[in-house]
Amino acid sequence: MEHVLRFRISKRCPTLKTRFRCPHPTISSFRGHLFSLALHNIINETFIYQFVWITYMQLVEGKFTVETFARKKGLGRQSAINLLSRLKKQGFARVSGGGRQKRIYTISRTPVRTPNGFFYLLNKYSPEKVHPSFEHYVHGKYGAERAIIDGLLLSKKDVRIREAMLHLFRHVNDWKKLFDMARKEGIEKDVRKLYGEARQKTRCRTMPRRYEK
Amino acid sequence: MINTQDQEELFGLIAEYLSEDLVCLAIGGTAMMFSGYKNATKDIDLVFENEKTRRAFIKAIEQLGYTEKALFGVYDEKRRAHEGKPKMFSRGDERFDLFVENVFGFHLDIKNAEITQRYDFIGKKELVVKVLPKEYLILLKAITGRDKDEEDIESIILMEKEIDWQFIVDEAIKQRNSNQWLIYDLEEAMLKLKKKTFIKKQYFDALYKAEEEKKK
Repeated sequence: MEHVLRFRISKRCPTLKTRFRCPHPTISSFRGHLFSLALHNIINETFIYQFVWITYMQLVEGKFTVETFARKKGLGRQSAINLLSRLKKQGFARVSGGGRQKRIYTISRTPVRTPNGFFYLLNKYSPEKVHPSFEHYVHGKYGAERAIIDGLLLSKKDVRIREAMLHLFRHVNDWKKLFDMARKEGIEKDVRKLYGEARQKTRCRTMPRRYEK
Repeated sequence: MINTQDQEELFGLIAEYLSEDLVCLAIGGTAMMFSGYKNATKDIDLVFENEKTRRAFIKAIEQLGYTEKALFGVYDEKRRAHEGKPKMFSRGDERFDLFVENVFGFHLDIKNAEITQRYDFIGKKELVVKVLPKEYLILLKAITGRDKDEEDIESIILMEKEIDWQFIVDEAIKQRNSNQWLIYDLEEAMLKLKKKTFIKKQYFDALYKAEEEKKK
């Protein structure tokens, strides 16, 4: 049943036209009762669907602290933490802060994943941060070599990317791979030029001589 | 049906079987799943830059046991007769709809398209899947006009507060010559959506005006 609930949570209820409002303020206080009713076939799946949608998905998008979220939802502090934790696991909430800083939860209606592609790598290695123009996710190995090629193709649209990319050369391990990819895209000259700039402005590894020409 | 995780794993697997690096655009249910608007889809809709890249993709999925199917029963007659129709491949419940350059006449620039997300599946070769903005998804859903497309548009509209209808209308008008029923399809979809959400009259007027101009 728990599995069914979790699955349903991330779905939109198609029959929300009904004006159903649960009399119970929190899902946790009602959950045991709900399970027992479902087990005895007193309520059906549609009811659970609507109930879960109403209590979970009808969330206001935006930034909250635990206190403001609890106030907004009419929950106790612990219930709010539990709900936020569950939302976080399902990707509907992201958290920043912690420790000395107050935790700020950003809630969205669609599940959000943390991008791990080009912009993530660029901002990780470069002191000049670039705002991502799109979300980039990678399945597989994505290193500085690929990022340099992607960056050169993207820098035509955004000049700041080029400046930030200079710091990627410090993390190039496979020069052959870099130049193979550059050759395929026809941007070998650009890579060499960028490397020249990187050598002047940043501390980076020496490129093998055979790639200089 | 295929869910988000299965879809990503499948793309990862296909990347292992590709003979060359490919770039494609995800539209329809696939794009909706990547964007988080839904959890499962019947078909994976992809648009390729040219016939060569589509053939390379087909070669890979054929090795995985996908076989070509007829469009009958999925697309109506006018769409089946259109030159921008897809090639359909299926294996069990999963289905690929593979387009080249355009979706029933609606052209998509794969290299320079404005995208919101990009997924790189790096295996033996690299499969890059680009995801279009929600406005394009709505417009393309209106064009493909399959069973669940209306529901999908509704899902996007209910989840997104800000839809740039002006952009959708402008894009449809811009490409009306390549697909003669494009404006009609969009208007039909918008009329249905009017019951669910507020769409300004000016957008309908712009469509009617464009159609009149075309007739003249």
